[in-house]
Amino acid sequence: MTNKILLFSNLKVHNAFKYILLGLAAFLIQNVADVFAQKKVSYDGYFEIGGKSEYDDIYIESYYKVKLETEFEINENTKIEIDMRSDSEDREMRLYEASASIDITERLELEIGDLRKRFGIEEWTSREKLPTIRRSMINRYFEPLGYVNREPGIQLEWKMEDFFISCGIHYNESHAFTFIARGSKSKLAGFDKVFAAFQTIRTRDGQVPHSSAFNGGLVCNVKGFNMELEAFYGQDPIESYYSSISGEKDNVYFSALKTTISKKFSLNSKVISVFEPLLLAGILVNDIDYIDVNRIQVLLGINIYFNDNTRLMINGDLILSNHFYNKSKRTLSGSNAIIQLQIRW
Amino acid sequence: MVRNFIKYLLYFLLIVLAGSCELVVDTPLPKDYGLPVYSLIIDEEDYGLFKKNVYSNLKINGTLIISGKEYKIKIRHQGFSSRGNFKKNYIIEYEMSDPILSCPKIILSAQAIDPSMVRSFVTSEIFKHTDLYIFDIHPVVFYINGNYEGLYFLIEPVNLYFFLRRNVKVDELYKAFNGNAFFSYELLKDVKYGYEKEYPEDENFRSLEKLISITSSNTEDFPGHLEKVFDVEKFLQYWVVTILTYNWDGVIHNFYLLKNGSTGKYEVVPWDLDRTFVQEGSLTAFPGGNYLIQKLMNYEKYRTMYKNYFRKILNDSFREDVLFPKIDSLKSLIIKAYYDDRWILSNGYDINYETEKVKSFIKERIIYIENQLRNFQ
Repeated sequence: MTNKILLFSNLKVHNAFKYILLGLAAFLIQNVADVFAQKKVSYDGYFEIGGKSEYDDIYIESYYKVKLETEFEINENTKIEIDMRSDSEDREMRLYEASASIDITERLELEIGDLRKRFGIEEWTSREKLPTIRRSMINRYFEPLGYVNREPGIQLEWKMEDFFISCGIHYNESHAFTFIARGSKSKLAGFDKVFAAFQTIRTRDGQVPHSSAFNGGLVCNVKGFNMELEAFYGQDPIESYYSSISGEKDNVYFSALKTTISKKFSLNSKVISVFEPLLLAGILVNDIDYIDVNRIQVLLGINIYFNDNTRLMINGDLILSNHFYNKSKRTLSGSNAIIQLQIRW
Repeated sequence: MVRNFIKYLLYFLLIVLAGSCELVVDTPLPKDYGLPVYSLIIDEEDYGLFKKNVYSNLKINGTLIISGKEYKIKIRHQGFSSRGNFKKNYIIEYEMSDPILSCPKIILSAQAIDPSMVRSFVTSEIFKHTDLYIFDIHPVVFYINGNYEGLYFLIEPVNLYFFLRRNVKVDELYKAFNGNAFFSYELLKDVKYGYEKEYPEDENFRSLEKLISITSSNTEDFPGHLEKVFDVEKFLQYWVVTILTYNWDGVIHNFYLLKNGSTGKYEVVPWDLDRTFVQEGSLTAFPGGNYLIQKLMNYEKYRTMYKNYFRKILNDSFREDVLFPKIDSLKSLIIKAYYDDRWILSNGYDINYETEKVKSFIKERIIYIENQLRNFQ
């Protein structure tokens, strides 16, 4: 009976959310009346092939992946994006993302659909455009916590010269709402860009507690060295749940710091156009009350560009983790080496 | 300023790295709990997506490693009200079949509402002493991407394959759901509110509607009409075990109705037995708070049959010397995995205390039922 009451109360919220979506859909339809007379269709995507060796694995695993992204420019204000992907493991095409963006004014854009939460540099950059093959250990840690990746929602983006502000609301099928806001300023205090983001996840119908997280960082370029530095701080809802039901503290806070440094060397070769060494280093503390229990990532990589869209990527990813019950010893679990050829279009 | 910032940041990283590499050891091997290990590997992005789809039936591809052998699977969340629980239940679909249960689809059940973790198993053991079809259940330990998710139970789902394994011809199969699976049109205005058609996948409920109209009716030859379309003996046996184990959650939902292709009769198939051995509500007070069971009790022949089934099950299986060794042997099998299960530990559950509670319940229940039977004519 209790569950039924809960479901009913949620139904009201769901309906409200549904009506907002329907309203926006109506607005979208109004804008896309000439949907069958698309002015422009563009294609984007990649093909990747490579081999991966995980620490403790006997075999090198080969793979290939494909992304097909189609963008329909319905009119000068409205675009629709459909992202389909597949890989050698699944061998079935999956709808990865579908979204619509509407330019409300020259500076204001509305996005609706299955959108990335854009929490951190790695979330507002397409994976194929990152200098590394995989996302960082910190980003991967955020996946099951719900702070990153796609969720149905609405985002409003406002741009003016050096300023950028966006805010959004997302809702997922675990009955959780996310409110997210992000802001950045270019050319500040000698840095190319300074940014910050905040999100809060409000859960319903489950035992997972509410949680919030903050991200801030900067991007700069010194003598051709491109550097990104990011810090993260927030609640780990899973650890908070375990901690609170054990009668310990109600909230467990994580903290993380990550930097990526790379430099592109142009070569006067007919085959290789650019050579890009890179370093990604990060530290993740799952519970800031135990700062000596952490995970460290050091990734060394080389990107060899044959042209703007084709590159050979080699990553050696070292992950050192220790445990609460054995702080002095670290394992290499999760470390890996990957080589990959990527062709984008 | 920027250059100095980068320089000091790199020094900091170097110091952290140097300090961390003091001693690198091999990754510890998974602990041996003496139970089959189900280790699921899913892509991190897919795992994130999966966690955001607790209330949907989104299927995610993964690789399940069992005894060193890899199986391609699809996984999705399972259950209705249990989806809000922190420890989740899953449905796993194999390309081939599960090596333990030998069926293409299995349920990985957290048994999150049973702190003893023995209730479903013990109740299914009691059902094995009846004529009813009952699912197989096995304890396993479950990992996702190398992290120990805890003690789980593999449960064989009741579907077409379940009956195929038992050489039973299925005409129709319905799942009682929504807390509305009544046997009377006075309580159930539309059978679709209480029964979900599992097989064949169509919207034809005519046969079930006919059954409910018979169970609802008060015709002169009610037993004669009913027995033509309904296996009353199995229904009575179901209710005997339901009363004995206090399976209150299996009264208005959580059972299946099979229309047996060989007999042409409907019969009950038990399901979801984790809310047993706990006194809750009055639905399972002797002789049973169910419309049909109360109606059947108006007939002497059914009362006699009911009493005889109680006697048989009390003699055969619902006995301390039969059930307690089963509880103890399951306890000793799962105890290591139980005490390493973070969810169980965080809730402060203790298997010794919880299984003793189940045993006390059984003792008290035997006395209660014996007393009731003495006065039951």
